[in-house]
Amino acid sequence: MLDKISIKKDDGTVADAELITAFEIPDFGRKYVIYTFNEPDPNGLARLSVSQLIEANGAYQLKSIETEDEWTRIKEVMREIIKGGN
Amino acid sequence: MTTFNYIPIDLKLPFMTTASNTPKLIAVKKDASTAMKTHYKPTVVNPTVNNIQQSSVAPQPAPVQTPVTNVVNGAEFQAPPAELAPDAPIDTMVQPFDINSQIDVPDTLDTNPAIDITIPSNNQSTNSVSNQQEESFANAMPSNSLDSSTQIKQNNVQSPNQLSDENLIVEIKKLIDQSSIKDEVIKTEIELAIRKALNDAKLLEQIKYANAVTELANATVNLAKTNKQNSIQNIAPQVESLNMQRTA
Repeated sequence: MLDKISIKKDDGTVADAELITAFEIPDFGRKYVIYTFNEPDPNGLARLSVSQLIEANGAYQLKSIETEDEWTRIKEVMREIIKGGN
Repeated sequence: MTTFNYIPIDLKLPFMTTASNTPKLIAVKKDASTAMKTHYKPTVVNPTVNNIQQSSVAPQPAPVQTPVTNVVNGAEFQAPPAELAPDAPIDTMVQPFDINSQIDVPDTLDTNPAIDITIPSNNQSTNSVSNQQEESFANAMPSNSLDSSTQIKQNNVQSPNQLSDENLIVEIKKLIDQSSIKDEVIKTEIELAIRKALNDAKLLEQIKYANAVTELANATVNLAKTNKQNSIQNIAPQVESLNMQRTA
């Protein structure tokens, strides 16, 4: 795994994930991270997890995407990235 | 178009989930995932470089921070479906998405998600596959969720002259590539729609087969009952005759 990150969950367990990308959307003033646990998918797709990213006290905190508008904009960004934007 | 900026990630820092963290899940083509990694080129702290510097005997001019290129066989990729409809319901299954710019996303991790696709009828593509009427597969199940008894039918459905699903999809993809459709997103969505439709067709076949087996079983039971009644009726006069002889 090239860019491995370790995610510590609330229950204390730690899961290794692969960092895909991270970006901020200035309109929201928020940062986001996309990662994957590389789980097998019956359709041959890659399953990605997307969370809001907050850096505080020497650690990153992952939070839920709060609104559908925010999620819609994130997916727009994903499309831009895939098409080679920015 | 949403403005965004890549941000660096310090791989040394721990990632902690909060109680409210339920990551959005999204299924994309692996090539699209690779493309996202390939295009992500911020300055990222690489802990490996730090370790080398600390353990090095001779002083090295190596920088503490090293950009991570994230190049993973940067071959061509197919883009994933784009956006989730704003009013789409959130479910553990992937929801229908619009072929123009829709990605469907479960909000919790599903170990066996299905891909649900909506193809709008106003698609201007010249390809025959994408000119279908709007189709929704919102409640479809993946075929591998069926039990083993119904799975037997699936194996018997194809004759030697029929293309396998994968071969069929390969052939259709060739046609799509030859068509005027250039948008990789649309191509991907068409392929996903076909896969979903094939799964649905299999499911219908399996349900029909299961119903036929049930009807056959019922008919067998009824036949057995009828035979039993006939046997009793046939034997009854003989028994009565024997009883009369015994009485006499």
